Amino acid sequence: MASLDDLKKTFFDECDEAMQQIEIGLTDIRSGEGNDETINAVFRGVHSVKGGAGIFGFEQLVEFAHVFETVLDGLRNGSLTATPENLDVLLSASDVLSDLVQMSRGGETIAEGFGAEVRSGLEQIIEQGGGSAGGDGDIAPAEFEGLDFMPVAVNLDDLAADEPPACDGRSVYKIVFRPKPEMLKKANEPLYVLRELRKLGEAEIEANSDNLPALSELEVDVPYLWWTITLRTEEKRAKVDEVFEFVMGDCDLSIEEEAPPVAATPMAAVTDPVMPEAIATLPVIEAPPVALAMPAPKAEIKPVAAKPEGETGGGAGRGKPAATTTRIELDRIDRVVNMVGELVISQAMLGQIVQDLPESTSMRLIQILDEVAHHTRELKDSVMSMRAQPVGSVFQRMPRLVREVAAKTHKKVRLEMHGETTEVDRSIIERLGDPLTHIIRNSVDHGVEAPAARIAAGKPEEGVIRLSAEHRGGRIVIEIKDDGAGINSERVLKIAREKGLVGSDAQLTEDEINNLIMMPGFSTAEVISDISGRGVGMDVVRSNIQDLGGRITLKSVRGQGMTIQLALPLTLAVMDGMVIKVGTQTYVMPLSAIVECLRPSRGEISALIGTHGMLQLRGEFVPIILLSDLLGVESAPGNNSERVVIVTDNGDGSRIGLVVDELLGHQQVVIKSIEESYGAVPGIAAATILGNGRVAFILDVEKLADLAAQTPITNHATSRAAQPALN
Amino acid sequence: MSKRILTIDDSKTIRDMLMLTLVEAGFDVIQAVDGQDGLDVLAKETAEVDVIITDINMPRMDGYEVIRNLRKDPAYKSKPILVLTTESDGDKKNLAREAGATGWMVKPFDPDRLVATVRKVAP
Repeated sequence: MASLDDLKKTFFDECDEAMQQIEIGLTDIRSGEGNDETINAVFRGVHSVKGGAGIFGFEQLVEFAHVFETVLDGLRNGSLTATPENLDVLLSASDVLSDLVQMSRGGETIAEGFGAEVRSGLEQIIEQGGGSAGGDGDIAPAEFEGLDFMPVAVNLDDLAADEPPACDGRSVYKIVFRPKPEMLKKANEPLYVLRELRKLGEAEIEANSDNLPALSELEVDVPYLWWTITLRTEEKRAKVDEVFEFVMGDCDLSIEEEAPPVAATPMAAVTDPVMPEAIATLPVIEAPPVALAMPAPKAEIKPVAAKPEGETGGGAGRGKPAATTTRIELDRIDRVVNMVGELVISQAMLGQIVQDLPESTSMRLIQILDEVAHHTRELKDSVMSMRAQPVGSVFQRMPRLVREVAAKTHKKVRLEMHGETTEVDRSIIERLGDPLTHIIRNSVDHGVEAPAARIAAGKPEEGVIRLSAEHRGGRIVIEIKDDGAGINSERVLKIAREKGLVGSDAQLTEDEINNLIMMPGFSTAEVISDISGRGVGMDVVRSNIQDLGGRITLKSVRGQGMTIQLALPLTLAVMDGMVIKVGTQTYVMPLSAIVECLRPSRGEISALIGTHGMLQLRGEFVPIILLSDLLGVESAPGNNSERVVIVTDNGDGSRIGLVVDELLGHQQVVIKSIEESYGAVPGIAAATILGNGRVAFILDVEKLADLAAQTPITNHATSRAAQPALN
Repeated sequence: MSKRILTIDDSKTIRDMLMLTLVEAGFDVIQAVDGQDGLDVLAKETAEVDVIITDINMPRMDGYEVIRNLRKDPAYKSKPILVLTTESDGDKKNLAREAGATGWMVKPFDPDRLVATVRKVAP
């Protein structure tokens, strides 16, 4: 059974979901994409935050949510209009609500008047709507009803609530109670009401049967009986009223207090009032109930929320019926992930041993092992999917960021988000926030131009940043695209030359120049303020992404904007790798970085001075690099023609051909970080344990390509280049 | 035999809280995550459900609609349906009553009162 602490955790998890729903919904409405269901979803989001917050006594949260909700209610019932100004206030309100949630989660004391400005903005909107957004509009905290843990007495009738002075003795109430047919229609039993009444004290209950028709005319759902009750009780009047709380309006009721009797001589109370049900068990002929003189039901007011055919569009709804879920501590899942990792290693070891067995014994074993491999992979996938989370949890912070930076820089920027439901391992999610924040902040600050400049350039005043996520070939690709000015490549090149980052005579393509902004030397403050491009800590962003085993690419078109693409692995725990051999060393290359492996014939390699040669691949030239050179290991002596070229994809579209001695095969490997214990090594992404128990390095292909580009060809290599690497 | 209660609420926090409170008070509890789910759950349920507690604001099908649907169903025509809502405004309560709600409780609820209220309509 859940404890209160568990409940609190659930609540805050739900708040995260709700906040996301609110933010997305409001943004959609702001950009004109919302519909009725969107505003309903936002309303429900705020509503559920308020509901839960009440349970745990987060009063400020409840109060703020209440005002927020009142405005939303006004929007959905049409008493308020969703002007852009109003929506801006609502968006700020969602920021404040989010802050309040965070502070409540952290157990912080919330300063008096926190978010007061936004709150008064909300109140102003309510006033515009005539002060009665969706009902009573009582937003004054003093009148706020949600906090007293009391069912709220409903003003169904003019119920005189004047409390008689609490006399020391008992009060006597004369009650006349005549149920109407409506009462039974709502499943309110007169019997239960009387029973409740009796709990209050001493009750004389008299049933009046004068309305009872002849048996043949009895209707099942008409209460014919009515009661007069004399109640002697020490309880207050409110308690008596409360008994009738649910049936008020569905019965004729009078409650009168008499002076307390001096000597109460109660008559024998009627203990078992005669109930219509007793009669109702008799067979009754189906006939339209005559006595059903119910008030004609009002024209059915269909709340906007009613959409029985299911949710469509809006993007902000919760969508499908919730699958049954259970909440598990992350630690436990992480333990399972680790164990699966070990299992993958053990399985590889087993495979190794089986291979060395004589074929007669190994045949059957190999079959079983294949099955084990299959199951292990499935197990791995299932476990990884448990840790998978939609990127939406990171994305959700971005609209606020855009709003804030845009406000500070006096720009107009709209953020569009796509693919928020794309899932990726939480280890990635956790480390995605910072780089993304950085890139988006830069996009607003340096990418999108000021409104005047945009108009001058013939663009709409409002800039658009598009943030999207999708799965592409076993990776998740996150794209941040703006329609700003792009990078001023001449200036970037000029600065890079001044800083000595590139030689003065180097010929660089536009892309190469643009990528310079991600070089470490580039990210100093004075440069940023100087150039119209960007560069704030882009080197840090790049290394963050690389630490995740990801790649960052950047495309800029002058005057039209720029696109930054992050390609990330789906998980940091296990990956598909190609085991290769160079000399006596074994390495693993991520399968995702490999385009193809081939053993080129002599004619396919062209010698080029200053390189190891070029591989001619279906009309394209791919520079060839000896992996042994890059890694500083001795290549195995032997037949060069046995060597294999692995053509890699370096993430930015460029390719290189890495020459290795031997391919040992494809296998799943468990990624073990070496950084924590050793530090980063260029060209090496991580390590793994192979089936034979030995450690192998996992290569970082992109870094290797960089290294190859930076490392001047040694004399030794040049001499080799004269006679191409692979002949 | 203990009474069987169906709770319908889209908030897990509230569902957990209801479960905790009602089970402790000796009720049997089954749950649904929205109005439509509530009707689906009831359709599949073979045992009798004695009380229904429903939220108002929910995706797919709201509480009003749930109540209207149940009141049309002979099996639930005379079952107590309690509305549990944060909405404290009278109009909405009237709307729930018109739909056929037996009674209502306001979130956040006090466990003792919740149980008392349930017992009030289904002793």
